[in-house]
This record gives sequence, C-alpha cells and structure tokens, in this order.
Amino acid sequence: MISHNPSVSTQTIPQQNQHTKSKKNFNNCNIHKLLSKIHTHDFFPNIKITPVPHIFSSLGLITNFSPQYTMEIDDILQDFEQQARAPPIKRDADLNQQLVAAMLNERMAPELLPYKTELMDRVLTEIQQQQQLLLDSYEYGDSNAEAGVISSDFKLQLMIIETDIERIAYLLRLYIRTRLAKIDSFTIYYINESAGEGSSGGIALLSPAERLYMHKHFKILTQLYNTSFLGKLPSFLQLLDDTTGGETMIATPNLDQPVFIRVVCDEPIVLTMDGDDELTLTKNGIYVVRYRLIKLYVQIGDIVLI
Amino acid sequence: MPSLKPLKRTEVPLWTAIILKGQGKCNIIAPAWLSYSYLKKMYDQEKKNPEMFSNLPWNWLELSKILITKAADDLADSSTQLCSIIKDLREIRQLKSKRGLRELNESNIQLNGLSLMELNELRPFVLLVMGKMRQLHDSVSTTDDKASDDESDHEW
Amino acid sequence: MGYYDIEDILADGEKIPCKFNLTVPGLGYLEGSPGKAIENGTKLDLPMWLAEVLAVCSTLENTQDTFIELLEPDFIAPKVMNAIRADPKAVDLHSIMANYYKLCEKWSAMFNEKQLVDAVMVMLKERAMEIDSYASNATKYVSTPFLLSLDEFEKDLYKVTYESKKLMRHWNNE
Repeated sequence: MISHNPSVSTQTIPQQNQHTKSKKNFNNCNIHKLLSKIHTHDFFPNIKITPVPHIFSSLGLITNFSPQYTMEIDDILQDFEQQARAPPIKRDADLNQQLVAAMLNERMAPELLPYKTELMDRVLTEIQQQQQLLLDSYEYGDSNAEAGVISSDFKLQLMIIETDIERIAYLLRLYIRTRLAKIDSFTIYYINESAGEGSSGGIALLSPAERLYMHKHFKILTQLYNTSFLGKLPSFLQLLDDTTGGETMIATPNLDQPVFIRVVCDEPIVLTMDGDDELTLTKNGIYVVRYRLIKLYVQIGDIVLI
Repeated sequence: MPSLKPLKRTEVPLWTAIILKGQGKCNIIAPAWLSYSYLKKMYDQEKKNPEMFSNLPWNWLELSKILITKAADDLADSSTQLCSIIKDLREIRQLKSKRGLRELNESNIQLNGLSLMELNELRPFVLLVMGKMRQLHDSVSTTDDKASDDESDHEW
Repeated sequence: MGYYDIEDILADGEKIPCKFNLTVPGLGYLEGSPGKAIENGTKLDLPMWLAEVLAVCSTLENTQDTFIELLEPDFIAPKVMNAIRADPKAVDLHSIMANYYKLCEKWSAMFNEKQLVDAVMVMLKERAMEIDSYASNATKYVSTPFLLSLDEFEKDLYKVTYESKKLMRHWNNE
C-alpha cells in the first residue's frame, strides 16, 4: 500500500451542476475577511479543545493515513444552518479504522479472508445516510439560494461530507476488488471451499453477491474455454480440475508466502518455526514471516498485515 | 458545527485539515517532530547507534511530504531546511536497512523501527528473495534440518 | 508453483544429460538418426520433464531397472560449484542455466541434495544484495557483465526492485 489518494469518481448526485457551481463561488469568497483575520491570530492564546464531534463524519474519519491533527480554525461553519442537519446518527469513531484494517489485511493476505459482513453492512448503511443528508442539503441549498441566505461555509461543509463519502467509497471498492481478484485467480478452489456455505450459519467466506459472481464468472469462463479451444481437444484433455499425476490443475493460494506483519496485541506471541525453533513476536514489532504461521492471529486481530 | 470556533485549537483528520487549509480557513499546528531541531537530533542518534533506527512516526515520510507541500507556512522551519534534513535521515536509514538485508533468510526477519514508506520500498525485494529461499529450502526434505534454521530470528 | 506457472513449465524444458539403460528400437531420431534404435548406454540430453519420468519409472514390474539414468548435469559440476563458492557474484549463471534456481530446486527435490541447496542459498543472498545495489542506481541503462549473468529469477528480481526504487524516487520528487 503506497499512499492513499482517493481517486474515486463522484457518486451520482442529482443537482451536480448546482454543486460544482457553488464550489467555485466558494473559492473566491471572503478573501479580504480572511486576510484581515490572519493578523489578529497572534493576539489570542490558542485554546485547546478536545476532538471535534464529527457532524460531517458520522464515520469518524480517523485512519492510518490521516492521523489527527491539531489545528487552528477560523470562523468556519459556525453559522451552519441547523435545519439542514440530519437526525443524529449513532457515532462510531473506529468504524473507519476497522474498514482500513480489513482492507489492508485483505490486500496483503495471499488467501481470501472471511467476508466482513457486519462491518460492511454498517458502513454501507452509514454511507447511505450521509448520501441522504447530502441530497437533503442540496435541496435546502437550492430552495434558499435565491434568497441569498446560504453561507459559503455551508457549502464547504457539504464538500467535506462529500469528500468523506468518497474516501469511504474508495476503501470499500479497494476491499471488494481485492477480494474479486483473489476469487478470479482461485475460482475452482473457492467454489470447492465455499460449497457448504450460505445455507448454514457461521462465518461465511464469501458474501452472497460474491458467491453469485464467482459461479457466474466461472460459467462464462468455462464456456469461453470450451468454444475457443477445449471443445476441439480430446475429452480426456478437457478437464480444468484434473488432479491426477501428482499435479493439480486447481490453483490454490500460496500460504507459505512471506508477509509483512505488525503485532498489535499486548502479550507476546510465540511461533514455532519449522526447525522447532521458536520466534517471539512482541507488541508493535514488525516482522516478515510465512503467512501460514500467523494466519489465525490475523483472524482474531492480534496481528495486522501491513 | 459548534466545535469549530475561530482561534481555537481542535483536532480533525488530516484530509479535512488540508481542505480547510486550502480554503484559507485554518492554520495547521505542525507536529512537534516536524522541525529541524528534532529531526537533526534523530539524525545524530542514527549516527551514534549504527544498529538502531531512531524513533520516527509510522508515517513520517508521508506526513512531512504532505505538510511541506500543503502547509509550508505553518511550519517552524523553512521547507528547504526540512527537506534537506529529511533527505539526510532517509539516506542514513537506507544504508542501515540495506545492511540489515544481509540477514535475509527463508524463515523470518524483524524490521522494527522502519516506517511504512520505507517498508514499501523494500517490500518487493524482500518478498521475492525470501520466497525464493523458501522454495529452495523446501525442495529438500525438512526432517533433520540443520544450518539453515539457525539463521532465523535476527534482529537489526 | 502451480499448474499454470510459466516459469516452471519453461524450466521443465531445460535439457539435462541422461544415459539409456536399454536399447529402444525406433527412438534413434532423438539423436539425429531416424529409423534406427537407441543403443543401451547412449548418452543424450533430454528435457527435464521427460528425463524425470524415465528415470523414475521401472521398465518392467518387479524390477528396479529404469529406462534411463541421470548423469550429473553441468550446472552442479564441481567446477561450477567451486566457482560459486569462490565468488558468487562472478559466476555467469545465465549461460550455465537460464533457470538456474528452478533447476536446482528440481534436482534437489529428486536427490535431496542439502549441500547443493545450502550453497545455492548463500549465492542467492550474495547476488541479491548485488542486484539491489544495481537496482538502486537511478540511471536507466546500466551495462555491466553482472547484469548479463543473471538467471531468470534474478532478472525478475532486478526488474521488480528497480521498479520499486523508481516509484519511490517519483513519489519523493513529484
């Protein structure tokens, strides 16, 4: 994972034009007012206050990539129109952090990890609520634009909410696409692995949508193979999952692949290496080890992949 | 949004701070480590302890880059000064990590003290070499293993 | 690793020296005399995938006899191994065997050659460090005999390492 620059396209939002226009207006706003403020800073002591209630981020955007920063704020957002607020949403500061961790683990693990059903449901619900808030706000902005009561700060706030949503959407996409890439590479293996899944409870490896994708993808792929070349081969060469002759055609994830890890639990973890040697992993330590050895620790969250 | 009041310090995620900064709506209070004197101290430490990495934030390269490009006027020292000490630090640490790579083996390696970006730079090399060593190692039967496993567990 | 691994398939095509343990009629085309038989004791280079099977399968049930016997290939000959021990960086792996490490793996797997593996791993590390040094070099075209001596895995390693250093430089300067 190199630096994290969300490059997602904007979510479809009605009144798109209206919105970009307002951003532009906003850019030139109040320059004089701001300049005049800057000089006065020195005369006032800075007062430290504790974390912002993220009205623009019910998802509590504190991520690995964006550590919290202390900052000095001008007069922004203070006259935010109360009416535009959505009903209070349950705040969950570490939801975003969980999403980042899930995405990183998924990206760095050679095999598919169990689908984070609960986390994904919560994140998707929150995104939907934020989207709704945006829509309502634009509507509000439209209806009041004529009267000239919309402040530039209101628009700034909307822009921040939108950026927030885009950042989350980027993480979600990365998470899903990484999973799909693995499903593509090891299709037959995961079809076998997930055979009993779905009907019974328990932790599922795949989401229902992923399972559907996997089966459809496999069907289309097999059809393509058959029409383009397999059909012309003798039938004993037409298999895609032959395991005779000591060589299996089914591609499987390589669990012996080394991975970069960081230990996050307090107690040291003792691994037994293949020569009966022991390796002790201590908190915050960074190691490169075989994935197979730490697989379970990743799933219970004592170790994160980096 | 009652908590964002003029001239009061508050904490927000970096990306929000950068948006606000871009609009001229706030000043960013730079982290204490992002100053010439602190980084210089780290540099001297690096020199004094050839076996150790000094303690820098996990994202120090990324953060310093973002802050220097987006909020240079909020930093205590000039960007040129900061850039040059960061470059020195990077180089001395690169030398160390390179020396540390001599400890590569098929089993495991400890990389404490390196930051995320520095790890990323090493990652492809380390993974390929370790993967290959493992394949070689695994090609002979693993019972009665000797020499090769003793190498594991190097700290550097 | 795996069925679709192209490197593995290519390595399997590398030829290694074998000796026939029996006369096979009609196989003469393998050594350029079609229609004739291959005599018992004929020495011939066969691709790895074929040699491996013939060296393991018995000619008849109830016997230990195999079709062919594998001879010591050049890539692990004492001369080569000594050169590797003396100065790993000076060995021209590419001309000895383009898939050197892969072949060593296969060979060691058949004969459980621990010593070979140990020596090759030491070499790998030495050469990897050297590759890292060259890859750190910012200039695009480096011509040194060392880079021409890389085996296929090492070439890949060089490419990947060079690429990551380049990306890092880009990131730093943008």
